[in-house]
Amino acid sequence: MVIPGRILNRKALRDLWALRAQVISIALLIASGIAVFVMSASNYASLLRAGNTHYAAERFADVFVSLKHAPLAVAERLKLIDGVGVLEARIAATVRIDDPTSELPVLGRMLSLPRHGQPALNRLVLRSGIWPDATRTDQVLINEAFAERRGLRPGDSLRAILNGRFQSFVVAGVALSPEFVFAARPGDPLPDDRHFAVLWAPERTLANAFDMLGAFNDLVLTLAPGANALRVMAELDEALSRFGSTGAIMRRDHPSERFLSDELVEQRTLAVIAPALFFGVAAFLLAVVVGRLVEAQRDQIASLKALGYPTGPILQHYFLLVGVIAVAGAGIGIAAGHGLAIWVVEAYREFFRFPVMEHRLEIWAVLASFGVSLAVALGAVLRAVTRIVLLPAMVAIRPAPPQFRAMALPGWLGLASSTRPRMALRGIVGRPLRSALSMIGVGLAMPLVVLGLFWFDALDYMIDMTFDRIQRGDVYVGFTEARPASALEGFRRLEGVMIAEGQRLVPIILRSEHRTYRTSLSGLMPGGELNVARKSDYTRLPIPEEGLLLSRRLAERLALRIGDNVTVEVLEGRRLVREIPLTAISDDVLGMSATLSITALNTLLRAGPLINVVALRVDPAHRTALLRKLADRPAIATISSKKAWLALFRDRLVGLIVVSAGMLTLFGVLIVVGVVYNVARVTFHERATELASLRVLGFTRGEAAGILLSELAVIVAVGTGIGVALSGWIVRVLLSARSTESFEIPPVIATSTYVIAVLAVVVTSTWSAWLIRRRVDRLDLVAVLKARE
Amino acid sequence: MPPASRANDNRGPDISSQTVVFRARGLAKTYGARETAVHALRDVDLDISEGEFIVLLGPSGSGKSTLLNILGGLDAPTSGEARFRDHELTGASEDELTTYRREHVSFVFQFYNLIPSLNVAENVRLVAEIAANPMPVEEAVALVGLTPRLHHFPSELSGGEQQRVAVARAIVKRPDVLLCDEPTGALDSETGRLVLGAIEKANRELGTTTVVITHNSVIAGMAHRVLSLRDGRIVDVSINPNRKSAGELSW
Repeated sequence: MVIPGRILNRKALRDLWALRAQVISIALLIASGIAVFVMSASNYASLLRAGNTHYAAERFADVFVSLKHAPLAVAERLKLIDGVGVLEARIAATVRIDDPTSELPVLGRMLSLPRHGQPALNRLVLRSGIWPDATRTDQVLINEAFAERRGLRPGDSLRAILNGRFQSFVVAGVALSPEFVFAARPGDPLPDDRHFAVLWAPERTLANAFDMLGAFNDLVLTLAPGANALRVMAELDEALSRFGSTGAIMRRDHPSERFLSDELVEQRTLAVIAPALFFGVAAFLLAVVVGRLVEAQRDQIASLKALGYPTGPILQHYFLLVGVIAVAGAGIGIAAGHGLAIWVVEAYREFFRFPVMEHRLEIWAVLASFGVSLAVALGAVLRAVTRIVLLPAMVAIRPAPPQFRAMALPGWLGLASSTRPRMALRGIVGRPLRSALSMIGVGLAMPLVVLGLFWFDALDYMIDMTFDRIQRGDVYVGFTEARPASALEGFRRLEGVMIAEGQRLVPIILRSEHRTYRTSLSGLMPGGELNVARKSDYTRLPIPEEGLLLSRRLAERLALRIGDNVTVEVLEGRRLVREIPLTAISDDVLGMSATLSITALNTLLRAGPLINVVALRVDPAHRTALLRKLADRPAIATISSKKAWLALFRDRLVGLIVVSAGMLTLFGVLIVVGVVYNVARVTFHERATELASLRVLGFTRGEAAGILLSELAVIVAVGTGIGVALSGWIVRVLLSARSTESFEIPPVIATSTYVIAVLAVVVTSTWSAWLIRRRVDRLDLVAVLKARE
Repeated sequence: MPPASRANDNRGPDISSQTVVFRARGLAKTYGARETAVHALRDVDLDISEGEFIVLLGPSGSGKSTLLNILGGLDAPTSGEARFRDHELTGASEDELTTYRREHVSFVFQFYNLIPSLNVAENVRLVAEIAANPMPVEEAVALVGLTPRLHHFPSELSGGEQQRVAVARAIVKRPDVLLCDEPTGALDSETGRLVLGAIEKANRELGTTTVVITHNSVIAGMAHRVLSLRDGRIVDVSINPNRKSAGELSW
């Protein structure tokens, strides 16, 4: 027996071929959505897997405490706290790595290794070389990122300043640690591997250098199953506060883990939002294009049914046609997404270091891609197809019911003075749903372009706000210990220093009801030039003499309003706790800062006029010499330079932004082409008779096409308006969805970005319009007019 | 006289003493090439005088529509020459043909091809807007007897009414030539007579040279001259000594 439908399937394939340009544009939209989905899903899975594997295999700790100095016996007692699993005490120190060629000091975080073998927690993965000999004090392991950036190999030597004394080391090996997947200097939003190293040395090395024999200053521990983390941390804090603990932190607040989980959140957001957008547009276009195809074939369907052909195969062959588009789109998307994911995983190496970071094509993502594409595509055309195919043959064979009736049209459309604009307007109003969705489709494309480009604006704004208006110093110098404010005089006398201003930074916890936040409190000089608080309109906000000034994001996080009292708990020295009123809120973009006048801070700390950071305005001509001079001073722990920071910023981020902007613009263009071209094609087919009539009546090709094209122009113009309105909104929504604690991107969009986005829409639409214009030119007048529509 | 020899004598209507507007010599049209070639027209000579009413008769595929389309500047002949007054239609560009149609020609087809989004008055005005010397829209609509329907949309009209709008649209620009391809093909006889009446009125009152294609030989009674085509040739020409008006026809 012949299976009914085999020939129909051949028809479906030929219909596909006849509609190929439209089919390709829709398949590419599906492919775009799937590509982003597969890429983000793979990145998410790769990062999560790499992180979890690393954390489990190397036993990443659950809780971290750093303190000043405590005897090892204390650590033994802490092991008895209920809920503590494995606890390990160690010595951690900040060291300077000697590099005369570097303009900025190279800092190292040095951690002790136990006497025998691997640490119990935060174990290391040795990438090359050997484990240091515990009996020697001249061997270290270094982290891989620093080793690669500096070209250091096992056997190479390295000089460091430990506690003010030079010491020579041999690199025994290169290692990775779960603590330093994202290895950035504390407070830096980006890893700077040239100027930051992690070093591991046998305990003796650190104990000798830092007078820590029989003592420790850093604790890592795991929690026992079912332990109450908060209670364990409270007990640790209580036991360790007199040893100078700055408070226990959980794994999720560990800087490395925080950056990793931020990236996971971002990939997850992307995996959901972008495909939803593309699928929405693709579904609409499928409904329009297939709806038109079925409408045009209603007499064929009716004839088949009149001949006794079963409905099933007729339905099925339309679904086959749509299924081919969905599967092709998903296939292209999976391949592209896989390629993108490989590229991103490579780019991740600049930021995240894992022992193994494999990119695998996730089977579930592949299956979901095919499943979702098919479901969306079939769902989109279900109504259009069944509406006609299920009609009784004799109803189907009659042409579609008329569209235009006098009363159905709003009166104002009659106001257009000339007949042709009226035709165009009625063309739009006569199909209100399609016109509205087309406008929305064009309207959705523009935000994509804006989304790609606005990063430049946002970064410009952040850099301008942060470096030119808030932290205006060229160089910031951090001391190892707080020193009298009179130390400023010494800086002012240095050649090249134009302005020197002191500040005091102390780690604190802010508390308001149940909300808490760890940050640093800066004591600033009121009226200073180099550190200024501002409102978002750039106006200067005076540093209050008495009260506290918070970043808007921090105030929001703690649900504080001006006038509220905040509990400030100082995490060093005597760990004083004070209630301070919030008196001002500033609009800085980087960080979550808390500011007090330096006098108020020193009063709070019950200290004299002390400073531990100096901000400098520097004459560029003397910059290099000055930095070198400062680097030799043992009392100086950190030096950061605006210029170096900006260079790092550009080096690490600009390339990524350019690529993502290019990709998003391409996506936007695909949407505009998809919408404008498909809607134009369908409208063209619907109006072929009309256009041919006009041509026969003596209208030129341009005049005839003009009616169709002006209809499109109205759709594009309204769509562009919607796009402009939507852009700001979508940027804000997306940013708040990806907003993490590390930093927040301000939703700043420059006019030039809007102009480029509008141009992208206009150029793409014009191109689509040109393709349609060619079809109007080639219209076979006689054939069209003699055919019964 | 045998039909074949009469067929070659298509040059002068003689019933009309007016000037020749159309002149075709050796007109041929071939579609496709080599084995699949279809000769739609072969070596047709034809003169049409100003104000003449011609009916083209012939079976499907005889070449009537091809001839009409070449006369109307919708199609170009493969060989031979065709000229309307000073317009050379052979070898004219698309733009020249468009100008020719715009200035001189109007069509009426079997299917009315009205613009569904425009009402009766607007459909007619559409053409008036591009014409050099149009008649008032209301006058054209009145000529076809549709004044009460002026503001109706095509979907609100019967087939005959729609075809009369098509005629009104065709005559509003006072064309020199009105070409009708099966204008009554989709209509019942009563409605068909109304439409033919409108065409006849335009021919009589505006002096429009009119060519009508039909399957229906009864309609030939309206013509000054009837040309019969077969296999791409004019095989018979007959002149009506006593023309009938549209109202007198019955089928």
